Amino acid sequence: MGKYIIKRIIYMIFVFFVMSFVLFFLYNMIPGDPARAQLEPLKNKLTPEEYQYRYEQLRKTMGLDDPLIVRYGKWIRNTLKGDLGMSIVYKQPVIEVVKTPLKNTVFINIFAIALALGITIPLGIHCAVKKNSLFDKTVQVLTIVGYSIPVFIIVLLFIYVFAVILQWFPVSGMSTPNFKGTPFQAFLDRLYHLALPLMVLTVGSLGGMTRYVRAAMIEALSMDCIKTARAKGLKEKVVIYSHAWRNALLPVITLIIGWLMSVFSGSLVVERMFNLHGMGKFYIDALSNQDYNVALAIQMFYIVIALIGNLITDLSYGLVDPRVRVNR
Amino acid sequence: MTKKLLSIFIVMVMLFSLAACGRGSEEPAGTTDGSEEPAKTDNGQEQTDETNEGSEAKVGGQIIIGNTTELSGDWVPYFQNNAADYDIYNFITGYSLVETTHEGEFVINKTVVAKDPEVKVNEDGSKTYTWTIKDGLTYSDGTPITAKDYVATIMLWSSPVVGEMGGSNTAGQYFVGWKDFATGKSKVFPGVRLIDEKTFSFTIDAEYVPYFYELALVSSSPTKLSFWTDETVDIKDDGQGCYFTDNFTLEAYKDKINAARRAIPRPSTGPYVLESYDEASKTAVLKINPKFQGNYEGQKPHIETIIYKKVTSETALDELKTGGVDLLTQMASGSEIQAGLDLVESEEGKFDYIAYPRSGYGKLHFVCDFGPTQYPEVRQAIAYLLDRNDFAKAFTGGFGSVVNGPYGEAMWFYIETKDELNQKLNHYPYSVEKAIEVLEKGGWIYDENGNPYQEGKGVRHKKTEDGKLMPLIIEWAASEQNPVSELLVVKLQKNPDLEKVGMKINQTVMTFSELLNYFYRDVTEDPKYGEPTYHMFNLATNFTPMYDLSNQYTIDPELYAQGTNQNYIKDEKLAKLAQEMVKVDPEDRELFKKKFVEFIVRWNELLPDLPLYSNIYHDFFNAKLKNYKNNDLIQLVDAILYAYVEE
Repeated sequence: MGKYIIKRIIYMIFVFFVMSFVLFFLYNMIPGDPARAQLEPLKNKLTPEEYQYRYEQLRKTMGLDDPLIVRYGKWIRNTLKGDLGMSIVYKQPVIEVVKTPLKNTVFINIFAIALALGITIPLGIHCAVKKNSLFDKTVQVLTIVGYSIPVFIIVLLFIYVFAVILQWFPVSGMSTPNFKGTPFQAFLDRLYHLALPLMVLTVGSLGGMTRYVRAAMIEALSMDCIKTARAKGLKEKVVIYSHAWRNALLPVITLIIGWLMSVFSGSLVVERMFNLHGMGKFYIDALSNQDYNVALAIQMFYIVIALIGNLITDLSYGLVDPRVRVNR
Repeated sequence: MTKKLLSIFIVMVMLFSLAACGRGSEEPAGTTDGSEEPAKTDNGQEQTDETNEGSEAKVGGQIIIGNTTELSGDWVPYFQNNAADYDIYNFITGYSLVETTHEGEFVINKTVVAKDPEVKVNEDGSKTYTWTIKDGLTYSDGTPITAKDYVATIMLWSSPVVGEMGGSNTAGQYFVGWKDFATGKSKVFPGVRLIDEKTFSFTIDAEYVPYFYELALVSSSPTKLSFWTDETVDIKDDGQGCYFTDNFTLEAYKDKINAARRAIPRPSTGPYVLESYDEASKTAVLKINPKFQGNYEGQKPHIETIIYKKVTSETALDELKTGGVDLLTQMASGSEIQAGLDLVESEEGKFDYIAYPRSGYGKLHFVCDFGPTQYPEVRQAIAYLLDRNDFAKAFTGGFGSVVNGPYGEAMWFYIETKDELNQKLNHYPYSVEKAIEVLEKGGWIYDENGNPYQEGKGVRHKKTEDGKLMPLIIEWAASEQNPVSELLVVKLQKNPDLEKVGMKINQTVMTFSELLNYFYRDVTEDPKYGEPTYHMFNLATNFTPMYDLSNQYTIDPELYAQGTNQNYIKDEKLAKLAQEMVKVDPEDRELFKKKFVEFIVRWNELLPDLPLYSNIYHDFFNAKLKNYKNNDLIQLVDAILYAYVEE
């Protein structure tokens, strides 16, 4: 087991470096001049000589005059030391500007994932147990509908119904501006603001997971061991949750761990529409503003998360199903 | 069946549980009570002149301003160019020596200045303005404001320390000795003098005088140096000019300056103090600065609290409707404006709006030093082949206009010369016949074999000076995901009359940054950008109250080589008129207007750009906001200063 983990970690390091190399080169091949883009807003304020002087200085400071391979070397060395460079938009270290959106995203996703798993797993199991019943058919139709509607439409619909017509929730934002209260009241205020985005995130993710759990459970319930368990006279609850669910968990666990790892990734549409300063919007803004240090840092962070997620998934197979051994 | 229903119910309960726990918290600030007594208001276009109404109003209330641009939390415009941050900067920065009126004219701020500046023309042609400020001015923290604070603004934001940090150190760029000081060649800045505690002077370099906007050049507002550095850094003047004490270095103060950019609390000289900023929700809260003595008219703010927050364009009007925001400014999209007008109409008395023209326009930018667009006749023909009124109507949803020269319709000098310009300018109405006429006049009379061109058969050609045939094919660079480009394809590129006339337009779509590389002929990225490739770009431009296009149309070889003349148009008369317009005495308004008309007429004939549309901006607001008047030449704070809240 230990050997296997070490081997996987070595692979991960290799993949990390390959991906960093590929991404760095891809970002630097995008047409455009970051120094020019940064100086462009000042163009009207500068004399032509000063503009040229500042432009050359900026290229030098940003290291744009070095060959690409030299730039990669400098960048990866600094990255490994924890220095992810400066954001050209915020003029602050990347590590500083990324903190707030990451915190916001994690805060939102913890609730969103807990809600989604809390609903989809019992619902999927129930549908599988009551296969082809009216309840199952209704859920199937609803999940298909939910799965098919783009999140953008769900957001607009929810805002219109719950914020504009019923006025139960605010249209956007993460907290009441100029809010005064205790930390607990502030926490509740934040939850109140996040209720609508959470509803959208939950509804948006219900369809896929519910259907997946249902399918896995139906397959598990048709296994011979389940028939044997029932023949032994075990209680139906024990059959479903101890025997069938354990068997169904193997295919589902990949999805569940994927979801758990997605706690760090934001939803662009939901964040944009509800004005949440999260990772999805932050990443897209970094790309559109050509803030490549930020975009690269986020991308590399996600690569690390994905690699760790894969390792955890593989290890968890062994925990869930003793037949699977990961010691080779 | 009951169990099934119960399951559904449980699922729904879980979904709404968060909503329930949030209901106990406070209502969002600024929520509009549905029972609010509808106040009788006029719409923006019918508002009467009530400029001084605000001065009699009671201080209090709160408004929430929504902006689609997100705050970055960097409160000085020397390191970034974010419009939302700049609004906050203007709320907390005041006591400028020179301020802008609502009509865009520069006036001396009598609240700050004890007497009109002494103006002296020096032997070397430079011009010195000596200012004396009043007693009793203070920052929001009570610290007295002295001459040193005014000098500190120019010194700090011209210093090599700021330049090396990647900031803009051009605050004193028109003053004698700026270049040497800003690049660190000289420790002393001779154009900036500290005379005594209340008196200081700025000397404009001879190169820039006379200049119609001299007042704007010699303006400054106070900066508390110790906030950006510490008590040990000082500015001194031994008779040769101001300089910093030797301890002011990049190494020693880089971190302090970076921290001060975002620091709260910070000393304010403007009508408001920045009370808090929430990075997570990108929201800033401002409170009245009780120490503020007023703007150039002595006007003080009346709205106690200003909240500035980010909104999304798709839901901005929903925010206004539900009380999430009270004011949305500069809405330009036709669909948004229509939705806003519907809201004002459907909820009569609860909401209001004002409308005003943009000081700028969207345009076709022609490159005038190569290919067909180097000939004015081709540029004019394109103008005749695009129905600009129809284009503006389609793009702005009917909330826009067409201009015929480089000006904004709210500029005082345009307003005062409008009738004359309307008579003299060519409006380029849609006309295939006129397009053909100008092209034939310009020598576009051949086909590809050099025979006389026959209408509708291929593209026209012109015999150039070297005897070669040039086809009338326009290469157009358009930025991706740009609705203007998309509409131009329909209204211009695919216009069947183009074929009739014998013109062809090829569109190439690219990212905006790549477009800039072609636009600036920037060879640092790739030598291909240095090669003139595109004859036409679709871009936009905005004008500030300091209307000076002399660099833009210069034929000075050095400036031209540096790309200042972005149209690459070499017209002596145009360049001369652009120069002459601003090289007039600041007092001589009539001469300025005369030169402005001459410049615009020449420009309109040459058409280095083709203005496509100029938006009519709409500000929508909760009717509790009274006496709110805005335009595109002033800052948001100037409009808020005169407004008040009536609940």
